[in-house]
Amino acid sequence: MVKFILRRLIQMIPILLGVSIVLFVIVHSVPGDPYAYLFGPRIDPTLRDRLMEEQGFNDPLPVQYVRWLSATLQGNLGYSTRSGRAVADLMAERIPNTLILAGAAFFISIIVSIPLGVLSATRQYSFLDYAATAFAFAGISLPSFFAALVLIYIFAVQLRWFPMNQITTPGAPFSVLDLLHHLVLPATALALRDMAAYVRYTRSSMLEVLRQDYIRTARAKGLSERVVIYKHALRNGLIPVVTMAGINLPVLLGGAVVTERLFTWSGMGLLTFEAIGNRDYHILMAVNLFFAMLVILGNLAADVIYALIDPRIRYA
Amino acid sequence: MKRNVTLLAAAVVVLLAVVFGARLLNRPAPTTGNPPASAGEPRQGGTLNLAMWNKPAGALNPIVVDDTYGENLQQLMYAKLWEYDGEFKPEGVLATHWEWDETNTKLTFHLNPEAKFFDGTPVTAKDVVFTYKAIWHPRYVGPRDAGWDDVKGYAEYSQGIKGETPENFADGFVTTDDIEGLYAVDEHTVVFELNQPNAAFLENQIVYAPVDSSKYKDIPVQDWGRPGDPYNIYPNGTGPYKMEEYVEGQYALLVANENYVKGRPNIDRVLYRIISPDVAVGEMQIGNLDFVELSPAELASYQAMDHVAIHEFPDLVFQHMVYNTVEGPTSDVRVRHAINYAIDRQAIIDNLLGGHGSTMYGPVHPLTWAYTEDLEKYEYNPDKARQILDEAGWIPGPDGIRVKNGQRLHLRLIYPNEGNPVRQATAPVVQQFLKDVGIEVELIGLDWPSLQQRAQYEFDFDLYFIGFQLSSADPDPTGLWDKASTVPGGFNTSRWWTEKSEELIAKGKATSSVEERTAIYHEWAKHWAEESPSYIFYATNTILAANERLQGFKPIPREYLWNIEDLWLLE
Repeated sequence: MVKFILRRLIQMIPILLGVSIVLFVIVHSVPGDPYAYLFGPRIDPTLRDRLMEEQGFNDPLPVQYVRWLSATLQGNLGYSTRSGRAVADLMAERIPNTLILAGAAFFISIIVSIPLGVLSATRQYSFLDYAATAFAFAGISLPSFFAALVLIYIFAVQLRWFPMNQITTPGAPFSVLDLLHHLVLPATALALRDMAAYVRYTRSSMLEVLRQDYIRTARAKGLSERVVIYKHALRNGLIPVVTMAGINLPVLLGGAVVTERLFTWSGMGLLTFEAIGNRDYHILMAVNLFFAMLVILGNLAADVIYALIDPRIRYA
Repeated sequence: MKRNVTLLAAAVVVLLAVVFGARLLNRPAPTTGNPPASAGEPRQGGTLNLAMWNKPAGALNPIVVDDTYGENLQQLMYAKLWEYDGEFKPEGVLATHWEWDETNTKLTFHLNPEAKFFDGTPVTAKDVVFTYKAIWHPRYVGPRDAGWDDVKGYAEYSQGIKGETPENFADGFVTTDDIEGLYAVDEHTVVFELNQPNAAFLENQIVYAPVDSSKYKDIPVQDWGRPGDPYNIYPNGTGPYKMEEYVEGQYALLVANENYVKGRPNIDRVLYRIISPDVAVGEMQIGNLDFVELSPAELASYQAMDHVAIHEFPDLVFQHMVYNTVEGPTSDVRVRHAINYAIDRQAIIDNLLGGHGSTMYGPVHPLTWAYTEDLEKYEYNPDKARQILDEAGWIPGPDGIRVKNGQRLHLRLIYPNEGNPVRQATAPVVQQFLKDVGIEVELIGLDWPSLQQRAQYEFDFDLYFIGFQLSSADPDPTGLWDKASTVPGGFNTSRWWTEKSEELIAKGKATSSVEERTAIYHEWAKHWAEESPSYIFYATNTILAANERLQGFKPIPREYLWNIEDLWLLE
């Protein structure tokens, strides 16, 4: 197992290198001049050329890539072309916010959907099953943008239970309670889509498992229904859900652009949004590589958890 | 409950418009609400709640800042020598008064001895000299270094020849030492001297707030407003509010300045929160915002709120379609005239803007004193457009599109596909208008950086939609329609200029007599209309929704908070 993980981690290196080359080319071939902001429209062309030269912006792309790579390997992610702030600082500020939001959304989606999916499967064709199915389809079909607006309208505007913007109350001293209060709506909005998908996956996979011979055997042994379902069936039934969750976790961490924007939750998604608008190359490179790394690690984590919960899977 | 249903319906409509890019046509013309007259004595206290749609880019220093929200925050923290009053007349703030000498080349400012920085030290003539020299410094990179050519000694200073030691020029340090065209007479008197008269100099150029020279003298000018500048976000400023807490990407909380030269503001705090424009209606509904700028499509949602008053007025912004006057079919002035006649601007104002725009004939803005309608207005006349195109040799081909020398009359229209939905919706409408007279238009929507690259640097377009915001209420068109602005990166993307236009622009700056200048600009506007380097659709109206608890709110274009020290909040 350790060997397997090590091998996968080593495989990450060429993959990330490849990704970084593709990213570098794409990010730099997007039209638009990120330096326009830096220098202003009326800058003397000779001064502009001199500064471009000084900063190395005029060098051929491969040279710029090698320079970027060697700086990155030394832990220097570069500086925002717009604000001049170090990209590492910006990411350090934003990553905790995203982790809080994504973690909460992940937690909510798992804690709600797995029991719901199991109930739905064990009571197939009951009212609860239909309700869960309807909820799941609604959740999958609704764009997260719309779902978030509906949540805001009901819980922030009409009922006024939760704030719809910011991470903490401006001017107030920090408190966990205040943070949680602000977290409820964005985390729920972000959780909805995955939650719906997990309910469906859990349900269908449980239904399949419950028809297997070993479940019949377990029942024949006279085990209680509880033990049959939660000890024997669930462990196998969860395998596809774990796959989904492993793939979804990086999406959750990186794909919260819309949710973070809508609730002004200044995490990685909002950072990406701001950087795209400003053609902030260094931020885009760092953020996208970070996401690539998350995707790889997420898949690895899924594989490892497979082995833990599925005795049939062995990695050599 | 009915109100809630309407609100929800409105929210859904706005949402659909956003999601599906639907165009909202023929919305009923709204009525403008009258803010209630302020009652009783202004109350001290409270927090003014405002919104920004994006995070400020980073720089809050008044000579480096280059984005809307950074500018808004900067204006709260720094006062200028003069600012516009509610009628767009310059009114002294840090300066009590100023005067031109009889040759119109020497402008003297008299500073208010009571003007102080946050820490209580006085604002002096040295600070003014220091700040403007910083803008001219060879190491300064930013948007303010334009329009100074008339200042004596500016050229030598900006090229690093004279005015600082070579080391200071090389390293970016600024001193408070006088130069030929900018000097302190005494502690409270500062003089700008020009090579030639420039009547627009005060309103176009002396618009940057002085910074504290004792703080900034040790920081190279290229680092101002950058992460290494300790006074960027928490400056020793002069404005009505000082920064109390700034959380990047979240909010800025400011607190009243007790030393403000116009007196301590009534409102204790200003809270600028970053929020998504999609939820602004909701924030307003629950009273979390005191005013917000909105688009005509959102008006109905705000009008439905009992506690909200609507303010509407024409802005200093206008939207136009720039012609490429150097290359392609539009380099022929007759083609430009034909296009002018082929577009029905009133239909665009009525249908796309719901009437929330003001006609603007010619290049001089209606809000300025030099506006005239005594010029060719190019009222909608498609027959005339066809006739002009025929005369110009563009003859309709088999598919109705005109052809000349085997070349189809195919024009590429580039426009921003973000930022302004009405402007985006205008593109297909113009395409249709031009198709009716036999011109084929290819629509190319681009995001901002791509658009700027293609329009301002490569001039790769036939037609180009853009809004332009006038920097002051002075009608001088330098910076937009002069020859110097035709360079790559300049704002005159039509690249149009004529000897006559250059001459009139120069004459307009040479006298400070308003009557003479008015006559000059009328003639220039007429000439511009004959040449038609762009087609002006309309001057945009600004619409604000304000919470009625906000008292004394009298917004003018761009300067919604010009009287912020007099505003107050009901309990």
